[in-house]
Amino acid sequence: MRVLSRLSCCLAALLLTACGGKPGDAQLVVYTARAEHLIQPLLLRYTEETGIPIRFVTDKAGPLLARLAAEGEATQADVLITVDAGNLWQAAQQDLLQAIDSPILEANVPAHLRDPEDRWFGLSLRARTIIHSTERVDPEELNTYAGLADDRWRGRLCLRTSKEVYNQSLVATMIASGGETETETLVRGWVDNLAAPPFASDTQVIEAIAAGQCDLGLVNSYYLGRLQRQQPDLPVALFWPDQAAGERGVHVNVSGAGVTRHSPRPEAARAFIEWLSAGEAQRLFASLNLEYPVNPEVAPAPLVAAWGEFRADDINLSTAGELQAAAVRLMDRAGYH
Amino acid sequence: MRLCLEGVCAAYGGAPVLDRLSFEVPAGTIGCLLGASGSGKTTALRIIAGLEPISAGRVVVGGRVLTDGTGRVAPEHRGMGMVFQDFALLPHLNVLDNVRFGLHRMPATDRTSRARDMLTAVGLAALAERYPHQLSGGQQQRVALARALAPRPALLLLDEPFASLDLELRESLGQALRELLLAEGTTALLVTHSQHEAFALADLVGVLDQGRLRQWDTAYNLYHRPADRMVADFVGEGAFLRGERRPDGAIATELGSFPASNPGAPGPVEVLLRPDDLVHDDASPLRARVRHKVFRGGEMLYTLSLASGAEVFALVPSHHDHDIGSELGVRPDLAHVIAFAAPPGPAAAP
Amino acid sequence: MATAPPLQPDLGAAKLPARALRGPERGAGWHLVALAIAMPALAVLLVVAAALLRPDGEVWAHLSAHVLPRASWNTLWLVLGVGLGVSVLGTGLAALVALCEFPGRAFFAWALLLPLAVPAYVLATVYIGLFDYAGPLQTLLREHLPGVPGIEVRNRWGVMAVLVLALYPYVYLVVRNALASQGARLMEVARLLGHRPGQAFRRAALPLALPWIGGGTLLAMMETLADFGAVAAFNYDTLTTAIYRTWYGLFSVSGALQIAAVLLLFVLALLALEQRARAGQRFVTLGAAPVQRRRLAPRGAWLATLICGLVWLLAFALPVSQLLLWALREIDSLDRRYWLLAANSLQLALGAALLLPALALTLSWAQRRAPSAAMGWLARLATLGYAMPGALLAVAFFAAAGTLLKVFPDLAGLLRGSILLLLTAYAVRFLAVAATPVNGAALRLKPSIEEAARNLGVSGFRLFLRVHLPLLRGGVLTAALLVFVDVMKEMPITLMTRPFGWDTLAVRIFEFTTEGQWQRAALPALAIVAVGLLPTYWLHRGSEHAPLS
Repeated sequence: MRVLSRLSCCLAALLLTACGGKPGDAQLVVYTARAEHLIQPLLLRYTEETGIPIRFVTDKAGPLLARLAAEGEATQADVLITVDAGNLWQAAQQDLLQAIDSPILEANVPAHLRDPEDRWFGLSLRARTIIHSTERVDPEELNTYAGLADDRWRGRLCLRTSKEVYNQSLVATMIASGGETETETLVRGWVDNLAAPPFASDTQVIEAIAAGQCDLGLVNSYYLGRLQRQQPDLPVALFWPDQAAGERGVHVNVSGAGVTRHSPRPEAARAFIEWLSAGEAQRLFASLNLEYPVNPEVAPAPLVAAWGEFRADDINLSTAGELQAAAVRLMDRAGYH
Repeated sequence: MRLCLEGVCAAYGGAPVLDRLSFEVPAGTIGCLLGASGSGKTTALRIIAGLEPISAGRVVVGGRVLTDGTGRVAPEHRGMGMVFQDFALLPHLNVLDNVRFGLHRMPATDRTSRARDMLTAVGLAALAERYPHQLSGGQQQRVALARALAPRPALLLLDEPFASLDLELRESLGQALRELLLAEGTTALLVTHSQHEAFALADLVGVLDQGRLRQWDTAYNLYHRPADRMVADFVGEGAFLRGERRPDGAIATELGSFPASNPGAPGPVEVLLRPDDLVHDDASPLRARVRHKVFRGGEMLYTLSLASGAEVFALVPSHHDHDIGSELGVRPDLAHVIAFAAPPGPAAAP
Repeated sequence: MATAPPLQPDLGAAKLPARALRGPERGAGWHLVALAIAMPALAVLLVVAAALLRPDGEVWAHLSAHVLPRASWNTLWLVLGVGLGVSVLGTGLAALVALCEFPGRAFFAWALLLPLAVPAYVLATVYIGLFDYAGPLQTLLREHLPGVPGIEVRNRWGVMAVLVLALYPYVYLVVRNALASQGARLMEVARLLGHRPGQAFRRAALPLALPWIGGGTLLAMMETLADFGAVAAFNYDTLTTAIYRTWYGLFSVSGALQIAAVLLLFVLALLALEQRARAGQRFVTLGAAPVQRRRLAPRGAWLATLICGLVWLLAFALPVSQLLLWALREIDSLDRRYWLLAANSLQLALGAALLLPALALTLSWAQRRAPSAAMGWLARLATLGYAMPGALLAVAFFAAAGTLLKVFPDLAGLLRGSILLLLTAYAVRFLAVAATPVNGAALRLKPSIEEAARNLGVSGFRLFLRVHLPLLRGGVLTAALLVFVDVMKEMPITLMTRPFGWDTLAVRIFEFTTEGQWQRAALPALAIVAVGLLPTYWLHRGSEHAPLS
């Protein structure tokens, strides 16, 4: 009996301490799908510079959108940050974001990297490109994304699962530029060339190439950057596809942000996103994860710059969101799992 | 089959549990180990069943050595039956299947008929389809018995078979058990802490105390001719009366002088006085005062104090009703005079 | 669950004093209590069921043509394989530890529980890292045996093996306790009746343990259905991955909920089936007599040690060593924040470990007091959350809670920033984990004990406190242990429902894994294992020496 009452006291105390959370005196609340260690240094710096305290919650984009939708007008969130354009498009589609009229953002963020209706803005570029073994592949043999479907790569290609949004965005933009039928044939070609079942992560793809399981693959460039920090002599290299005149250019995605529809502090939220789009903040935002800044004025990190210049696809990224479902269905049909 | 234990020693975690245990149960008879809890009686049973090893000695059944200090025959190859204190019926099987459980070596056609016969023998034929949790304690006990006897064991072991049953059930089941064992010709050994059970069922009874067998004998002898004071104390009611063993072998007490039935050195002794050793006789010059009385139906058990202050018991027909505090005449009527050398200090009634 | 007999004789309502027990009224009360406990789960199920009313035709057409056949087939394989694997491995290990004596037995009795503290997604990642083509093992093989073909581990068998290693403790724990308390006794009985040890186990101890094997296996199968982390690491497509694909890829939350609803219907059918299979069995407790574990012959004994050691090595030592190696590289990032994260994890896990067994006990008690078909269904529905993918359950829970808060705005102020909501969500997710061992123990409460207690004038809550609780201790401790480790590992619900500042170790893992940085996630993963060790040991001791369970 005594044990039981003691236990219930513990439980009550636990609940009470938890209830004693401070009221919402924060001046900005951020829901972010960008992981804590990639965003918190920026939040701290912003607070340092402006005195505005920021609170944030991390989660995957899907649950964050569901949370915003469920909270409705009662939400505390001011800013939504995701790591891909598809989910920003979807948030805008569900009317979870509001348009912001910001000449600063319009100047800092190229038009194709933001919502045509100004509800979201890309803040860093994630380039999805070809990676190949330096030992078994001559870069001369490489040309385009479509080229990976060529018979000569039979049993030599490694891909990450189609569940990953970066592949979905890539295929979505391929549909936009090449049409659905052609893209499906092409994706089937990729699947036919696979050396191993699709991997769960880009890192595994790079490691498989380094280990000799396959010769080339598709990855986001920063994954190579991370590995190169640990093993600078990894026998793999990046190749920028579709660079010839008339070709689409390297597929890029963005990590970006928008102001929530029911933000209690939309002005402060806009100011924060503007701050992220320029200067030191913009440099830090990109370089924390070895990504490319969206602001052309800001230079990428040295390791990233060493991979060379490339021409990026300039299709508007809302396409990635619009056609994402079509891309997923296409990959399902093509047997790309 | 004859059960024979020869100098069996066992230890548990370094502490001796059984010390040179030796006894014999002749074929077709029922033996019993009587002892308080912790006396080692359950261990002895488990050793005979092959569930525990021994450090020295031998267990022999029907001339076959089953356990010795170097090893033992597995329980399943001993052909013994055992009835556990908690019956240990298999909860997932119905009564019939519980009884059939040990008949797997029999031809399939005979199993059911044998099991049904056994259930009839214990009076449970009507409950064959029930599950153990649907039975009363007494019914479970009888199922356990039928199950143990069904494979016609060479030896039946019973661990406190009636401990969890009420008195009335005990007596009726005890009788049924004895008849059943005799009918099947089964040799049996039971262990119990209840002398009533032991006396009601067993032909031979041993008193076990702290791992040592004090006496292995008939119930009559245990009661009337206990080998030592511990046995006298443990078995039956009785008082110890101070006295003196004279060099000629006679024992002098305040109740008079009697020839000793057991040998001993001259000196101060204590004489075992059972309640039936003292007879009510109003004509007797020996007077005793009533201290306490218990009505036992046909008889009355009086606790009396003698002139010296020593307390004794007397069993008196119950129509002789004396008030507490009153005096009555008593007369000793001893068939056996058992005297033990007196321990230092005043004798106390047990 | 609803198998206890009505213990209260029907006294008839007429001519009874005011304080007499009146069956129907009390029954209604208990039904209300059960309803209150099941309410959050029912609300979530309602959200899921409501999705069925708005079928997304286009999505369904695509899914049923290209996704569901493969995913269902894969799921069936996985669930059956894992079910078979955990029941055989869990029961085998439990039998060795509970019934036999061999070198290291006492150590393994505890150590074999430890894989409980290792999240399945961690195990999966470590195994792929070690054993896949690019891993050290195959690399070494290739170096020494050139020309040896690569071995693909990322397949059905690989994911099955990992889930079996991660989930067998659910079976091991409950079966070990059941066998330790009664199995050895029945083995003796069977051997005395002429059965060899193997037969004795099969015919006497195994049937006794069956309800517990079934319960533990069912838990493991439900967890397998809900698992996303491990199957995602293997890129093995199941119904759960189909759910996420529909949600994240096709942006159709309702489509995802619909798949989940179908999934839950199957689970419900499975639960009802198990219930029916169990209905005939009611267990009477045997007395606690001294029982000796069978001392194995030297060769058998060492084989037993070898088997236990191998499982322990594969399921715990190996993955934890790998985590240690990874964590050492990141040791600089071990800062004071980890204390806070660990404290948060501990508080949440302990809070749930107190709350959930209490709820399960109340539910079990209510079923005993007022057994009815409605009560049985309430109890079953309340445990369904365990088979639902965590993130989807979190969304449904959030939607249900959001509706509630809109209706009662005052409540919102109270709940904001409190972990009450989070604990409620845990209850929806993990009640099955608490209910299985508690109900298992309740199954063996002897009616006579209760009758005796009532005879002595002990009834109502005091009867529960003084008679049932002590007897159910083993089951309750087992429930607390399972809930504790499950909440420590839980990620999606914590992510979505935690108030500001309630980051946990599992959240920390998420921060790294969401960006594919598995090696950096080793430190928080290891911290989860470390924090889980002590309670695991403590509860192990408690449940091993408890009279029943």
